[in-house]
Amino acid sequence: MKPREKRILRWALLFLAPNLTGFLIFTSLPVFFSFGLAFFQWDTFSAPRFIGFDNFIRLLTDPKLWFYLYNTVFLMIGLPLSIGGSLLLAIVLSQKLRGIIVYRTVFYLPTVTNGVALFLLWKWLYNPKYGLVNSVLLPILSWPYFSLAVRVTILLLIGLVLKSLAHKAKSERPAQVLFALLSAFALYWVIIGPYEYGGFWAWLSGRLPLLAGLNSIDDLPNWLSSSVDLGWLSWLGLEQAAYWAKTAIIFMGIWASMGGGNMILYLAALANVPEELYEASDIDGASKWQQFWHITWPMIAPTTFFICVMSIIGGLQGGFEIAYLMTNGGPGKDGDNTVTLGYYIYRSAFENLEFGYAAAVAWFMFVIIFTITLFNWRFGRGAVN
Amino acid sequence: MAKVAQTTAIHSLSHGLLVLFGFTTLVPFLWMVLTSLKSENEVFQSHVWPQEVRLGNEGDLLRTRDGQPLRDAQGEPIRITLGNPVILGAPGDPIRDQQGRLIYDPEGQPIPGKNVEERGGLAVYKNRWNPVLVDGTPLLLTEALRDKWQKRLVQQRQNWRTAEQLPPASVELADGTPLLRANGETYTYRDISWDRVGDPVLDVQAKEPILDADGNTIPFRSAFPLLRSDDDPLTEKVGGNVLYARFPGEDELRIVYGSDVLQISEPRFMWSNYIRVLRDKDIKFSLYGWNSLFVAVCVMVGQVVTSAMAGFAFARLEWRYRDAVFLLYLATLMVPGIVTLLPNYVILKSLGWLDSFQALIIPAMFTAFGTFMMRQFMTGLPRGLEEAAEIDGANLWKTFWTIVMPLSKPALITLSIFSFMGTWQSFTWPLIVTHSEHMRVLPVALRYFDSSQGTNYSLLMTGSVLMMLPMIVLFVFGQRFFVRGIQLGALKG
Repeated sequence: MKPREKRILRWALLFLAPNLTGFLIFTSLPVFFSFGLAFFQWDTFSAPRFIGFDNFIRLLTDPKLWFYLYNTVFLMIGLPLSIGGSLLLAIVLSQKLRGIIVYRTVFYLPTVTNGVALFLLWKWLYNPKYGLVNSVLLPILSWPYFSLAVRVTILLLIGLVLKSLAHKAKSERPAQVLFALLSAFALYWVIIGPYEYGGFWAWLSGRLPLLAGLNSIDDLPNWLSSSVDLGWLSWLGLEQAAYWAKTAIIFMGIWASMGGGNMILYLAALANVPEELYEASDIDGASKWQQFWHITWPMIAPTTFFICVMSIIGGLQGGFEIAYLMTNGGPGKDGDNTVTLGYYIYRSAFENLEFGYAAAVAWFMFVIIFTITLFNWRFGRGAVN
Repeated sequence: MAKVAQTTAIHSLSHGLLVLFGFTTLVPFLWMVLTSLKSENEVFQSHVWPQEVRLGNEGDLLRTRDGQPLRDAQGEPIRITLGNPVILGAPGDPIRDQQGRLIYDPEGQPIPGKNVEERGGLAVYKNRWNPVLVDGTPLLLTEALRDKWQKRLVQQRQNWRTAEQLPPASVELADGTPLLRANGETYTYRDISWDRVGDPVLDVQAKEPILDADGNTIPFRSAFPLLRSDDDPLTEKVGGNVLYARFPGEDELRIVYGSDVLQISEPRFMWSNYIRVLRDKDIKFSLYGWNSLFVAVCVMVGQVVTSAMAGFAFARLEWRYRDAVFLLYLATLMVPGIVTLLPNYVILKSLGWLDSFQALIIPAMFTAFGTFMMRQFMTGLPRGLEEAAEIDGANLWKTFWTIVMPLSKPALITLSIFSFMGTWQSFTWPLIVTHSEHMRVLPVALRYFDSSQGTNYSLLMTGSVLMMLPMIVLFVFGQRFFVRGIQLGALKG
């Protein structure tokens, strides 16, 4: 090594030292430590006991783990809606309207304030008797034609999605088809969400609008703890499974994230689409709709892909704070209807004092996330370009 | 012309959509602010906009349960005015705390440090959440249940849900006699709202009189004064004659026992909620606020300095293992935070740092994301800065501080804002590594405020507004840095 190189290396290490030290102690070391921890049984008070693969075996046979994975994925159902909403807002905003900064500021507020205060605010909004949600819903849901209107709207929206799909059938862009399907699916589930198992049949059975005999605010559910009235489907014995809590959390998530970072990313992506493309297609007589699907959508596909991957990764890790603060785990027999994987790790470690098992669950989650990331690397670039 | 008309139409439609969504976004915040401006009891009424409440029977005599007019120290009868004192029992009754210790003795001297004071010759017990019965009889848990409950509490680290989880057991007075319903059955723990260990409060919903073993009615206090009966929206009678009143200079309602119906007067907007949250010694909001501020500023400075230095090493210096080390940094961005959460807790525990400022600050000070961001920015600075400085005789240390850092100001500001906000809002980590009250930061404090004391929503919302305010101010004034930060963050994909 030449003296100059040596000198530079020394300088580099000096500059790197503070960060690297902390990084090694609080990030790198814990990764290995956590893996080791998964082979032990430990409550942090007594000495750890080596139990080999027992934690992992338990993991695979733990019905709760799979239920919580299901919960985690279920709570992510709002993502397509939220991402689609971000895109819609970005498109509308990118028309060089007046007051764009004001709009952007307002839309971004929930993201800026995201945290304990916001979750507690929503808990108060969802208060069954005095919360704003039920106060606003009461007059709307009491409207005699509401149920009809909901169904017509859903059918119209599904029709719209189908039409746009038919429109694009030739090009066969998998991401696009997937996104459209997911949106339709999400819409369906957010509205029918609480019929987690009854699903479509509950809808057919006519119980969807929860409206029969709505007289006072007491007839409306407590969104964070009430179970769903399954009507004649109750013979299925699904009362334990059907709660409003997930729907309430999903709705809050959509509200909070639509105007946030995703919208900003879409705004930037839209600004990068060359103006000439639109001008050329104007001359060819393309409609706005065609312009969107043939120019805008392909041009912003990398951003969409990035947003989707990041949202999925974030969604898999998330859910602890919201569930802890708003539902304290959730309704249900074991009080865990909204418990996610992240929450389960917290519960295992700090409530049941099973650090080893919690570490194993954390690794389980990591493996899922890692798989998605690999999938993203391997197929992502191909799908986008 | 048609084109112009079409554009106008599209623009109006767009504005309509944006305004609608903006309104939807703002309504919860507006509701939060309105709630924070209501009094504790007004929150439970149906109107959205705060209203002024006036005293209905001002000037009437205030009487005790036996009908005698209450007199102050000068012997003058006390009239109902805005803010009359709480009267717990007849004058002359001693008052005891939950453990049965005497905390107010009308014959003896006032006991310092206890929340009892004399006003107008009357004993006033200030702690409204304490389950002292009106006649001064303390309500006690049986030992076995208390133990069981405490164990459960330690295990679960959560305050409580409902009494449903407890086995049915009768509620006893300190002298061992059970509390009875009018039909002779005993009250069980299920009829009681729970707050913390040792804090049973009789359920406000219980409208029937409560009897002691001899069949005498025991007047009791409700968990919190809900003013929501339909015919008389401002008062509620629970058990015996229970009224509400307010002391001069105070905003909260207290329960009065007497025979007069008292109405309460309140200003339309309770700005005093904010003063109360900031100043009240029981709420300790400002202590938690200073904790939060201290932690956030320390983490911010630490993150910015270490990230900038590391970013400089990665972006501006050519050294042998640079790309390998940088790849290592990038790789950790993928590891979910929750994987390192448990080991970090264990590391801090073995260092003996749990429940200290170190635990809150030091692990958060080193960030791969910040390093990445600073590197991206510094790579974009003009080439040859270091060489030019070297010719002038400056070493790299000096170059870094005098040339690179000032040039990186936009990135530094962006990172500072993100770091500050991230720490200010962070909840899980402080929840795990701290437990004592003096180490509590705002998010954790808000959570405790929500679950204890039967949630006073107007004060909870006041606290939430105060916690959100710095974030909103930072955002409004640092918008362009936000946009830049989000886009820089996206580059890592």
